[in-house]
Amino acid sequence: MSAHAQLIGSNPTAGAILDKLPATIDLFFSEPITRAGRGISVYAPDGRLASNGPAMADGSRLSVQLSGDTDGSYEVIWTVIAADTHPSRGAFIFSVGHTSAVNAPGLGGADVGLVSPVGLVLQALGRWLHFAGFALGVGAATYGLFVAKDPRPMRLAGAGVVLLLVAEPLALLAQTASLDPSQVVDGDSLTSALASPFGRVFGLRVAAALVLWAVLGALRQASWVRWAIPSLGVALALVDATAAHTTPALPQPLGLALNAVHIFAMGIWVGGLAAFAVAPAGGFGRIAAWTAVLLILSGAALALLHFGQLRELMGTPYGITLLIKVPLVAVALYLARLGRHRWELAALMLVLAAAAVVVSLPPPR
Amino acid sequence: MRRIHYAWVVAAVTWLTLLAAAGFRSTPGTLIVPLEHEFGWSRATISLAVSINLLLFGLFAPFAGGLMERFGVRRVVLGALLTVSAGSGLTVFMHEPWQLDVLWGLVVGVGTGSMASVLAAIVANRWFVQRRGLVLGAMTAAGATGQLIFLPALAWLAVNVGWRASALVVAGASLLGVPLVALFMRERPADVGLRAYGATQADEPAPPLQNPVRATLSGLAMGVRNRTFWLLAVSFFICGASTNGLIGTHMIPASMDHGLPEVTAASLLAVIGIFDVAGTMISGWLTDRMDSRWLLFWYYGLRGLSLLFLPYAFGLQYFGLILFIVFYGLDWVATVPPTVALTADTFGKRNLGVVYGWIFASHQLGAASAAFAAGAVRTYFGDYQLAFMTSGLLCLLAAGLVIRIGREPRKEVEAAPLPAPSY
Repeated sequence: MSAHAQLIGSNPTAGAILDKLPATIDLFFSEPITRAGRGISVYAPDGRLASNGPAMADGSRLSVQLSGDTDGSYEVIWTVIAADTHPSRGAFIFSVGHTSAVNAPGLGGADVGLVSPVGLVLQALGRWLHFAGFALGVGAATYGLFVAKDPRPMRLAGAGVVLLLVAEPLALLAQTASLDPSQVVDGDSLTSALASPFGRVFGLRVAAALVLWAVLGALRQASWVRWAIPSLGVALALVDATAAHTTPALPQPLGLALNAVHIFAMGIWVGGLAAFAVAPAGGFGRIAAWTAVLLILSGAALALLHFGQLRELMGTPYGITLLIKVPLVAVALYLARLGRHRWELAALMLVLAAAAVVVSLPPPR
Repeated sequence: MRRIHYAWVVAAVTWLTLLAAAGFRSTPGTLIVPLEHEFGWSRATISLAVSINLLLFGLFAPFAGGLMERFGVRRVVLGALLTVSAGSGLTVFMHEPWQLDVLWGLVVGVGTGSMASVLAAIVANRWFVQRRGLVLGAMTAAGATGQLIFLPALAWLAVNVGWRASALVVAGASLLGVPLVALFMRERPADVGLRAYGATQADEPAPPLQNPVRATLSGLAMGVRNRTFWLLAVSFFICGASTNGLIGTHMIPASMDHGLPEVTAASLLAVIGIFDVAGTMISGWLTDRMDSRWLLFWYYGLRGLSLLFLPYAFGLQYFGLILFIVFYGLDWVATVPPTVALTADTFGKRNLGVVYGWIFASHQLGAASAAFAAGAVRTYFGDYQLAFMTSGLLCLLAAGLVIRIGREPRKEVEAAPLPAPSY
């Protein structure tokens, strides 16, 4: 029930030595998946591909047919996308008759959090731009329309739309780069990424950015349209929530709502703060305080639900990033208290960067 | 008994002409297979003629506008009817592929292109001040109705009697139109001693006559310097891409990809046509009452969302598809009345024919590009999901474009006082 599909078993198992090559190989994952690219590639000892065609996914099982009669060690490379859009990959070896040297392209370098390092960096960058775009597009516009009643923050909202639109192609490339950095713009990899749950989220996010742009234009004609902006923010936060980590120990709708509240509160606080720097208006302090409280409560709830035991915090990259994020939030709150709003904004941008990394990493199970 | 305003007579004649023209234009589709059988020509050879036809149908529109301003609507429509009649009738004697290209492609393309959306726009704007949008909506809907009536009938003829019979029916129907138009079509309300329907002031005098080609090109020059022209042309390009180009061309193969039989898929498309008639009439009625920019904003926005929903609709089987079809059908050419109204408000009645002609050409260009691009996407990626998603997103872009059209359109002297937008 976590995010980032992980391999929990296979037939044949890793390291097995068999009498002959089985007709199919089955991989079992921790959650339902869709294949990315071929899904499973099995390389025979002579370097030839022993798997036939793309793998078939059935719930959390992924299988492909095998053919060949060479004895020796076979390498299995799998690439999948989980229901919450996170890609993951891995490799293992089994042998027929006897072990031998493997003859396969391999994964090329160590993985960080089940994906290639360059893919992880791109994923985090895409999410960071998306969060910043969300804050400016929704938060700054809401501030301008409801708090300051001032047109100046609307420029920031336009910039937010641009950031939201730039983030998506980057996220798409991150998806393919995470699984195979050598085939970032490969047609088949891109197609399978778009056909996976990621593609759905991708389309909805671009749609939300375009609707936001249309609504920003409509504001010149009629002021009641302003209500569309926070509503769109809630909708986009829910879309983002489906692409965040599934919260363990909570029914799915509650987990989604908690994530969406967290994202929406972030947008109002960070975007409002950026708009406040452009066009200060009284009354924002109270809103900022309330959204900060909401943000911290929902964040704390999510963190507690993800960590069964606090000991896990120190052990994983996920935990370490979260340990960096929390003091940064404290710094931002302290700067807010001092009234150093530009520094507060800078600290919050670092918090967003940490959040982008956290969402890209697999949480502890 | 009050006499019927002559504007209604002109509108009825125009409506019949548009109905017939839509039927003529849809004929080549029914001829592909019979021609393959008789002459052994490949589908690519025959498709070339169909492509020329579609291209000219769109690109000739602004020139048709220029010709109507110079020589008059009646003469241009008469010429177009005779052209279609000759082009269609002569196909009976053809025996070489190039003859098909010239007759169906060139002659019928130009002929039907002269009796398209531009004709409706000019007639509605010259003759009507009140109910202009409704009349325009009805005329635009005639295009869809024409295809619904003619297509099955011509297909039946081609199968049961032979393709020559359907070609001759088109030629004959076209000739029948000639006396009708010659007797009843009039240029302007002033020619029959009237004001436009619902007009409170006299019509502005007819503009000086110009060389039609120069008028067409100067209309383009006037358009490209105007922001509103670009906003309308780009959004109409997206309109053509997401209707005729994508759904009109690829809905049937896409449905078949998802396991629907071809007959079911084709009848789904026909149902879109029926809802299209209702949707366009309603849109015309709304255009008379509301801000056209807001109408377009909603049309494009909702169309975009329904296209994004389509891949899920295929998953839901019939219920989802029916939902999509009702919704999409209502929205199909509903964009025409508000687009014409905005063009007329911005460029004036005098330039409407030519400028709208160029905007309409952009619509057809969008249709042609999308028909090609969606096919390429299907070939390369193996399914249509990306094509549907892209065109859905483009429609949302169009919604953002149309709402940015300038707030103060040029008011015409005789324009009816617009009711204040109720927003």
